[in-house]
Amino acid sequence: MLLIEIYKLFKQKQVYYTFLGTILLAVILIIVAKSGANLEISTQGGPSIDLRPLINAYFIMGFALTIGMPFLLPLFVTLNTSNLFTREFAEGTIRTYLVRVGGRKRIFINKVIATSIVTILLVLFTGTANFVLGAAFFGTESKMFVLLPLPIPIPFSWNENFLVAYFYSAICLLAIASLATLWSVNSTSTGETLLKTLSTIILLNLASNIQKIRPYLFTSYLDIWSKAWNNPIPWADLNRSSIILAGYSIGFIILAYFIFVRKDMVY
Amino acid sequence: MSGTGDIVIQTFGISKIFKNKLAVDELSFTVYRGDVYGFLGQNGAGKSTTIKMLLGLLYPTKGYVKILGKRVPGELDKAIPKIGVVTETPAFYPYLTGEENLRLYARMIGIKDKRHISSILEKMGLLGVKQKVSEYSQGMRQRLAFALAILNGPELLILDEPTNGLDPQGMYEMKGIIKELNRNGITVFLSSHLLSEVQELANRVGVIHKGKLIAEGLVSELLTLENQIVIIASPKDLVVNVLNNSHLVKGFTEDRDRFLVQINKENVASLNKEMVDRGIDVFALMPIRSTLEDFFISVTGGNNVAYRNLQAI
Repeated sequence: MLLIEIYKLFKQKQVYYTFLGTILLAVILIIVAKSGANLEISTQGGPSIDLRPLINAYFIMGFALTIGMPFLLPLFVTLNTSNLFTREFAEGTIRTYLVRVGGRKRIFINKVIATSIVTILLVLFTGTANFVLGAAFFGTESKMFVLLPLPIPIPFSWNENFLVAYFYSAICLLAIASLATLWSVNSTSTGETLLKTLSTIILLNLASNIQKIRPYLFTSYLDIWSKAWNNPIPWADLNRSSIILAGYSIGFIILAYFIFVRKDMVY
Repeated sequence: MSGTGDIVIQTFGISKIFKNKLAVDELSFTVYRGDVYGFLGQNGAGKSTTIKMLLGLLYPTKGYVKILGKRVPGELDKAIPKIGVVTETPAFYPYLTGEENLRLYARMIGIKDKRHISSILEKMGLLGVKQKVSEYSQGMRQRLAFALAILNGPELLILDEPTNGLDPQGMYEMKGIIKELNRNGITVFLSSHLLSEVQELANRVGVIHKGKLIAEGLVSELLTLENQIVIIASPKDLVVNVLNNSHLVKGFTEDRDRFLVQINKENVASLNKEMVDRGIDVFALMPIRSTLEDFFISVTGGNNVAYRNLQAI
């Protein structure tokens, strides 16, 4: 059933759009860089720096994550989660599924696992595709040096930092997928799931400005991946944040499960 | 086939309330093994809500359901492999072909025999159809739904408007398949607004009206109007005389050469003797059998069924 869930997902065109969407920013950057347009950015209190000599495969890989994580990647994860749950409600296929295969618990668990797998695949694809794209246009030769504080941080040692950043971004996106699952079982269209999930994140992000409640909001930990660029990597902080995110994710999934198994399928 | 006593579906006072609106009201009915049970009701009477409760898609606000001895929804998973379902508006993955949909479900329920799947598709006229389901007509979807319903060789078929969208030929074929499946021992729960279809297929019916079960029983019994018979006899004036004066007759209506007579069942033979003794030629003396449509209208709307039947004889 798990393989069938993944098969069903990859039979939908929208899923490919989300995967291709992860290289969109890199493609734009490449076009701009190759066109000879100005790619200068200003450092805080310092001179402007032309980015072009710095761009290589690793730069593109970091750029995709840095620019994608605040909005695009959560959007794609929510879309894919919604395709696994809400689309079944919207098209009434959940009815056929339940009366032919049966077992709400089994269906839910397989969908959640499929969501997690697709989310991890999306992160892997983002890293790999952007690296390959960057390598094809700019090569892999090391051009790394300290540029902090830049809006786009560039690490010293790409190996460890990149892996860590992508690993923790997957944890953040899995938490978003869990939230999207919760909203998916409570929505009747993909648009509704998107709106609810992204609104929740935005509202909680705004709420996190209140320092007293900030530590209790899961959105306060959705940027932990960016700490992977720091040297040395703050492992203790990353792990603590990951545990909190995992706790929230489990909470969202348990809540979604009880809603799903008790839900009237009026579709 | 007719019911043999083994209960396949039983509802125990199920009710469903949607946002303060009572859709189904303490519904209790029983379907026996071998039945073709016709489930009748006007639009909005609560038929589809009831079917969804049978299948665990909706949770009853009150009461519970047992299917194949398993309580719904708790034990439904154990019954599902023995049930085939055609829902009112069959839904399939639109981005897959009909065959892909069927194979997908076959894999999920552990059917690996490709020839079995092909034979079902062939039976439903869908073998080799390469269109995606999104391009299917309503009739094709209905056929695919039926193919999926019989994929697992069910003991019980629950059919909600199974001939919806089918052309006359398709409806004829579908009815033939339902009859054949029932002859092979499959119990059928059939909800349809086509009363002639139900009358042709069902041996028992239940009528739901405004969420309540208002009639249930064997079709053969329900369609026999109690205490009413038709008499064809002559000479007419003598018949009128007997009917007017007999203490057995509660009332009668005359129409051309026939009479609709209200009389207790046990007195019919005595009336016959009385007429024969008076020298009347009795050509026919028969109970009135109405159509399911008449019966349905009489229990849900209260029309004068008896008179219309007399016209029809």
